Amino acid sequence: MYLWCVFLLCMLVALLLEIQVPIPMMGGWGHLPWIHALVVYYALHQKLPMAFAAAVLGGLCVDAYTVGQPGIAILLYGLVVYLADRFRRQIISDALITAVVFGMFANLGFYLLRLGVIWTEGYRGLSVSRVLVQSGFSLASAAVITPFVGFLMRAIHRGLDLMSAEEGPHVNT
Amino acid sequence: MLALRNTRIYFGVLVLLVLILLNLPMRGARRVRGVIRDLVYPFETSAVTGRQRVSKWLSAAGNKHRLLQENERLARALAECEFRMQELKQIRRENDALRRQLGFAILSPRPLLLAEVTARGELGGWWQTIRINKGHRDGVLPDMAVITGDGVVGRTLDVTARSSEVLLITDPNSKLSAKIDRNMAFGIIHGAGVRTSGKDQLELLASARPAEMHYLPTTHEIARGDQVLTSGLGHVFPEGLPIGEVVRVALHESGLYQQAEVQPFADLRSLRYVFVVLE
Repeated sequence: MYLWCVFLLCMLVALLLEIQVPIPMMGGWGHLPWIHALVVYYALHQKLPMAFAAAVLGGLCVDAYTVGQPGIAILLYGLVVYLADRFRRQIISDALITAVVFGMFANLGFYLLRLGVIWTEGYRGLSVSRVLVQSGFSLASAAVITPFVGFLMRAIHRGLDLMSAEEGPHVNT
Repeated sequence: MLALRNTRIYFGVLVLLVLILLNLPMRGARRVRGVIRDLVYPFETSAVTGRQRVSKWLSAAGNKHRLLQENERLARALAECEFRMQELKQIRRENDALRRQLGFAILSPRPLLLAEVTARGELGGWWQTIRINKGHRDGVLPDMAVITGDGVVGRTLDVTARSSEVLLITDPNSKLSAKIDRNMAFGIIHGAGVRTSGKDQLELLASARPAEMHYLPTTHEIARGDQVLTSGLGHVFPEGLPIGEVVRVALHESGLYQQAEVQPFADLRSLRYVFVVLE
């Protein structure tokens, strides 16, 4: 129960950070992927029901603040949780590189999926340079934020003595 | 075996949810979005207030540090004075802006609703939007014009009970019928999108690129500095609202019409208060 309260609170804080703190480097239009990073953390470290809940709630939150049809973010986060679960025996979920790769994959995937959707709907004003800059930004921001959120969440769970609820590291045996 | 079955059930439910959401009609999608945004709204407004306080505090802290370097002996007193002065300046600026907006609202023949900008940009990263703190509870509907005392800002896109997403006129998907004030030459204004270089500032994707006005007849002479107004065609923007001024004119490569770059009057990068035209 306590774990679920922490989960909801963290999701709310991540959402507020994401919608309220735009990035001046992107002319104020960019956002750091706090929710992506949180979903990646839950996908890699928590049991399936909570990872699944993170995918659905995180996806709903992101879709609610994105122009266009909702559902894309849930689809992507579901895929992230699926991959984390599918390769649970092959990856070291505690490793920094795993979190970074999953975070970058999630963020880039989100930008490109959204781009695909709006492009098919007749979105104007796309240029190769813009797509490249946006993709580069999504990769770089995820590479920074995902491990940071991971460390922070581990610290919070450790501080609140919730580590026993985690699945623990998975090592290729 | 049981774990595998549970996994399949979870992902089955997730796929079903995604399929339902992706196939929702526009009204249903808006309702889903509205429910979540309205749930988050109280926290969002608190976060906006907190952010403003933090930025004020940071600004005061920055001034204090500078004064300490300039004069160690008077640092504490100076910092306090500076802090108070900054506060007063801020209050005066806000006061001036609100007075100007209020004067504009009183003078305007149209019913206007004052709204505060609560956030910039949508999370998808592709659209140029702002979010305002008024929704359909306040009488806002999709496709209503959003303006400031300076000029047109954009139009409402997604409206929930307490907040609305506004598509700016600089977004490439924004189309707006306009006319040149001097000679009544009609045309269509498209947003020119974002700039993908940042020479003057450390900005990868800046937003200050002017809008473009297309389909201006070659029979009319268009000059730099000409004022551009809404034409009233299209039923979103009322006639005669100022949009911007022409900064460059060129003949289109087809030779059939002229096109002009238009710099919006409203400073879209530092919007704080806007008006929704309730018409």
